[in-house]
Amino acid sequence: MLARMQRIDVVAPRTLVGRTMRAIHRAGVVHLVPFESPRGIGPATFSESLDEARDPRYDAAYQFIAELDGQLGTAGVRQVELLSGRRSRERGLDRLIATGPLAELWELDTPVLLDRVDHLGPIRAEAARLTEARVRVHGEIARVDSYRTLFAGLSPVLARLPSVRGYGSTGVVMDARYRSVLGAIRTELERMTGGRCEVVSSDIGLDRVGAVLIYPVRHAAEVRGLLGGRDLEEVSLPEELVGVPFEQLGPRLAERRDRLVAELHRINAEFAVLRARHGKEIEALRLVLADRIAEARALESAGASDHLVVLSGWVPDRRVGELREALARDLGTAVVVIERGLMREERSDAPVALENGPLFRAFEPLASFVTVPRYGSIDPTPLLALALPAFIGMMVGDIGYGLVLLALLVAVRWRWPAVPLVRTIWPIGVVAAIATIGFGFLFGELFGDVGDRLFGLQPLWFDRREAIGELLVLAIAIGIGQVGLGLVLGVVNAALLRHRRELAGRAALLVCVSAVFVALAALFRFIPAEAGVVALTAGAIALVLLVLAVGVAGPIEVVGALGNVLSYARLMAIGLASVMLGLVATRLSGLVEGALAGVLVAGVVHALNFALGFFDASVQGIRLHYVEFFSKFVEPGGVPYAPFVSVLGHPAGGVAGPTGGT
Amino acid sequence: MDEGLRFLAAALAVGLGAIGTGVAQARIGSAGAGAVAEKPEVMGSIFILTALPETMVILGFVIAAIILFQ
Repeated sequence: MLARMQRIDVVAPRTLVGRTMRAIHRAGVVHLVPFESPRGIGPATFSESLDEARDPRYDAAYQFIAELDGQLGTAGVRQVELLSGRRSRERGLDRLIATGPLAELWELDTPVLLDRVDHLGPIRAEAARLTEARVRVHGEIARVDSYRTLFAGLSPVLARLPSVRGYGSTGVVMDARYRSVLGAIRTELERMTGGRCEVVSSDIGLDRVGAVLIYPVRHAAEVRGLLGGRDLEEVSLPEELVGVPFEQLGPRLAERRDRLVAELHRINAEFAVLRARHGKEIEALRLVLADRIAEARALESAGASDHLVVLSGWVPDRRVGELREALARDLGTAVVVIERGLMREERSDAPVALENGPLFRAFEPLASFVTVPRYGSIDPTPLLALALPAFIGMMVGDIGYGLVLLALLVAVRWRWPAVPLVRTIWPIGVVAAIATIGFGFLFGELFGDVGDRLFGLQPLWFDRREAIGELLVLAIAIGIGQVGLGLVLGVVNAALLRHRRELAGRAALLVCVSAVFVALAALFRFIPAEAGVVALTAGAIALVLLVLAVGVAGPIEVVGALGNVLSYARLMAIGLASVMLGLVATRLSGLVEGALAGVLVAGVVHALNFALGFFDASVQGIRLHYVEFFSKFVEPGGVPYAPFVSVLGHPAGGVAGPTGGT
Repeated sequence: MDEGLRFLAAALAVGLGAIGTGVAQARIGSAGAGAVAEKPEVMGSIFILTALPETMVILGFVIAAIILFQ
């Protein structure tokens, strides 16, 4: 169901604006909205600026910490290491007390908090020094690697060159298309050195040419000038290797690289020490400062007069008391919560919070995946939670597959208990597995017909392999039921939201579609022919009303609804494909010689059928709900309830909201 | 001969529906993948749009079933 919401204003003295915002943030139940003056009060009354509540030092401090965070890589510190919580019951309300380094920092006053940031100055200097060293070493390694690549490409030629004292070398690499540049460089170099030079070149790879320019060391600056501006990749030797004979250059480069790698390891070790000592504090400070900045931004939507501040928002009805308690605990009687009451024109602005029991709650993300239902309408979650597992079970319908799914879910849950995706899928998967086992008994299937062959398993209802027609009728009947329910709920939703035109259109559509089915039933003589005549008359009148209410799209909607019903035939089609593939597995295993090979073949085909079956059944089941069912009644365009929650109450911190959050 | 024509009709009903669905889903899927890459929040709508053409092959399947089991 959708939670009943209250529109509230929190009114506080200006002097307490910061503490009030902090208390609201800590409570984590208010969905903040921009302040609007109540009726009877002019907009100018609450249009004062709240500049004094915004502290620009937070932005600078956050920037400082974020940079330090980036240098040390402390963002990987898990929030669960920073925050823990214990429950406490006060005046009948369940309250969660946050503890740990994050909670301690969160409670600090501005000067103390900023002082903690300032104390990290030496750490920042040390991190900057290490970062600079790491960049330098990385650059050196890249330079040595480039020269080694060049050297490896030219080594057959270089090995034949005599080494001459006082001569230096410069390597260049260029695209093979520009190799003619080398001729111009050689001419210039000969002119510059009076012919005391050598240029050795060779192809490196498919599309690059490398060259080493050998020249008297005293011409090094001129050579650099010669190469500058020619769009060449210059590969210069490290200072200590200039003048080293070519035959010694390979081993010396390797030695140099080893030393650089060792230095890099030492730098990384120093980073690790810094991270271990200060990582938690830095990450906690970053999160707390982010909260302070969020509070300052939230104040931009507040209304302020000379003496008062008003913060507006939405709170689930059952949590208004909790908010009052939290504000009273932190600020006494100086701050009041005013319930504005829900005006009719405000209903469309109200955020939507889904509140379902533990089993249905798991289906909430699926139900609101495409769109959030509008406030005041029907929550589709319970309907999805009841029907989707049944659809999956009906399509797969095999005791063996259900048991395998259950075992897999238990194993995954045991191995990764805290992974959010696992926690989300777990209840849905378990219910679907149980439904699959149930339908497996009804259809008498255990890994296809293996149950029948080994244990004489017989269907409790019917055999899908033989009763194909009955299965199709069952699927269509489910379609009639669900689409019909959707049309009825559409009428109810239009009534709840007081949309008269839509109410008339949906009621007319319901009558039209019902009339078609009654007429068909009469045509096939399931009911008396007179009923068919009455239905057609009612349908014709409803069709006129539908055109008046919806326009020419009305009759198309009737045809669309009939198509939606037929679409449920996929329940039978997917199910039939699944059972046939199961049979194929058994037959194929019988064709292979040897028991072990037969079991292997059957296992592979069953595994394929298992994966395809559950994947396809899930997708098709969800699709039937979104396209065929929800389109008949879910009112799209709802605003999700997004309370202003601090890092203390954020689920990612391992601590849920005071009463479990939404 | 009549029996053969019935099977052919059933196969055409499903096969042509499947081809139509495949062509439509290919186009919607490729456009949808691009849209989701730029705007992940449209994932739900793209899912619906991609699933819509499946009705064609399902309707073809229903017709085939009626042809075969009448």
